[in-house]
Amino acid sequence: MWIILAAGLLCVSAFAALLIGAYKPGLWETLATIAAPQGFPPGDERTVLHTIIWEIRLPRILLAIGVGIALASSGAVYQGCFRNPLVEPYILGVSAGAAFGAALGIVFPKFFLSIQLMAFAGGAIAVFSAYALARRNGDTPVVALVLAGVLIGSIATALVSVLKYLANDAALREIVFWYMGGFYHVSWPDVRIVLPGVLAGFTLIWALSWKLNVLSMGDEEARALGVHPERYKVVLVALATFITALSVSACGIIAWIGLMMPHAARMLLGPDHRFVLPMSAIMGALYLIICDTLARTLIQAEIPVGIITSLLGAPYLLYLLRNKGKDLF
Amino acid sequence: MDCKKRDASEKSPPCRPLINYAFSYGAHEILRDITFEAGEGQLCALFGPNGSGKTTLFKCCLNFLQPKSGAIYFGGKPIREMNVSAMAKWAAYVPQEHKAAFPFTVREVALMGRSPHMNGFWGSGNADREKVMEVLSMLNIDHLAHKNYNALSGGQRQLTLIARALAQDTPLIFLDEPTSSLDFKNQLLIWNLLREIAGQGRTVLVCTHDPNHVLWFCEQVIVLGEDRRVASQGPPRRALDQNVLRRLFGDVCRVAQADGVDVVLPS
Repeated sequence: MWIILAAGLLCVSAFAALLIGAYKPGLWETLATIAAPQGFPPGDERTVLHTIIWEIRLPRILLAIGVGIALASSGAVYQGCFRNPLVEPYILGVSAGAAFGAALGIVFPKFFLSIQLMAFAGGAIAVFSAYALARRNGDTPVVALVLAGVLIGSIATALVSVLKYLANDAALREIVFWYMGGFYHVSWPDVRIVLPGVLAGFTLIWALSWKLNVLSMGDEEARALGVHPERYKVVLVALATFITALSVSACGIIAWIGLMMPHAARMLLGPDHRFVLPMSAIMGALYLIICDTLARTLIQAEIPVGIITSLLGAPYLLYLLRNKGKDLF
Repeated sequence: MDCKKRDASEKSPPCRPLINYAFSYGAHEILRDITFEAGEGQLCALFGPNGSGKTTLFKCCLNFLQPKSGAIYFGGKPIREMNVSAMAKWAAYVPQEHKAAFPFTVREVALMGRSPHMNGFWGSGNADREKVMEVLSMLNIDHLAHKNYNALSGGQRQLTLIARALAQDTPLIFLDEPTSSLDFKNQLLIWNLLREIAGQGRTVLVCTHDPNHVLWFCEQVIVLGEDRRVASQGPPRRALDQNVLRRLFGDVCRVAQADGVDVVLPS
């Protein structure tokens, strides 16, 4: 029930986001424009609106949906696999690692062909190092993993700064704008790479959601229950890192969504990942559309959406620590 | 549990586990020269003082660790050659009661026991859910089905984990110190329940360090000594008598009789 309601809300807000902005089209005009993907004949006054809807707002909203799904569901996967309710792509350093990989691809396009693949490699190295650093005697303490992730994230961020220093002017400009975390440069090619990749990754993760429940009971129990712990953890973490890397390579680092959405979904539906995963994915998409619409309408200029999600997300972590601390540690 | 049906293809080998094994970790030999066979429908204890290597042996039986030499057989097949899902159809594991990382309900925890039998990706079907409710009512915890597992008492959590093992529907059940953190009433409840489960034809192997529980409830015992060898094995009355206890613990305890039952008392 909640999932259907949330999906309905997502559709409504995605449509509302089409209407809101510096240029405010009417409801019927917008519907007519969406119904005419080939565009209007030149000279028609609706052509401007067509450009705004089809070239600016629609790809932007679709990308926000893709990124929201990716970050929220990968947060849920990391939390389940590492049995740690505090981790998410940003805290684990995956986002920063992926950003470093993508920055390498931007600065040295001759050596590294695909920015997305580089981002995946960077993210995978980051999550593996954070896990290896935090693991002691077969156990991974909640706080140790968070600290290891912060450590890895700060190293990766420093490496991105080194790349900025080395980059020529054009590459530097590209890195700076992309790294701030925003959707202003979005174009259809981005959407075409990110959205199908994220949807495919999410579907595979969702198909493994019962196994994720079992994995969250710990390695030995998962093994005794017939779920190979190492194998499925590697598959799930790789999928989560892949969709995180896709979204990081398209719009930079956007923090906290992977922490907030799974928690909110668990509060509504309980901890079963078969329901938590779709719910947090939908809520992540919804949340990111709202944040992005705020980002481009709050003031005359545009605020990077990463700033808004951080302003809202960091207090949420504080709230979790203050009120739920007993259950977390 | 009809073990013979499970192996209809072969000439119905006994479903009992045969343990023949030695284990080393690094340079230290932890256990050696253990040969043990448990019968169908028996409640067996693995008894020993701390540091005797019983946890290691226990983990080897579940394929969590691999013995350096020797082998463990379930139904005549070496478990080393079984993959994770084949093992999960042979043996269920009941850990010491613990808290889960997420606030699952009792029903969801028990439903995880059905994982080895689930087909496809999505998970549980109607048959699985019915099986779980059946097990929960057998253990008299069906009224807790929708309660948060983490918010229950230790005894209720242990019962839930046993329910999960029963839902797994395996011929063998391994329990790791199931009563060590429970109060007296719950200890007796769990042990009586284990006897009942063994009476249904499953082989139950319990790791424990309470000699009275072994004497009162178990049919077989393997006693591990501090020299990391089997001190004795067999029916508890014989295998856990005065001499064995003295070898294990020195002169701190003696075996007495009350109403025809052996009791270990402080001396």
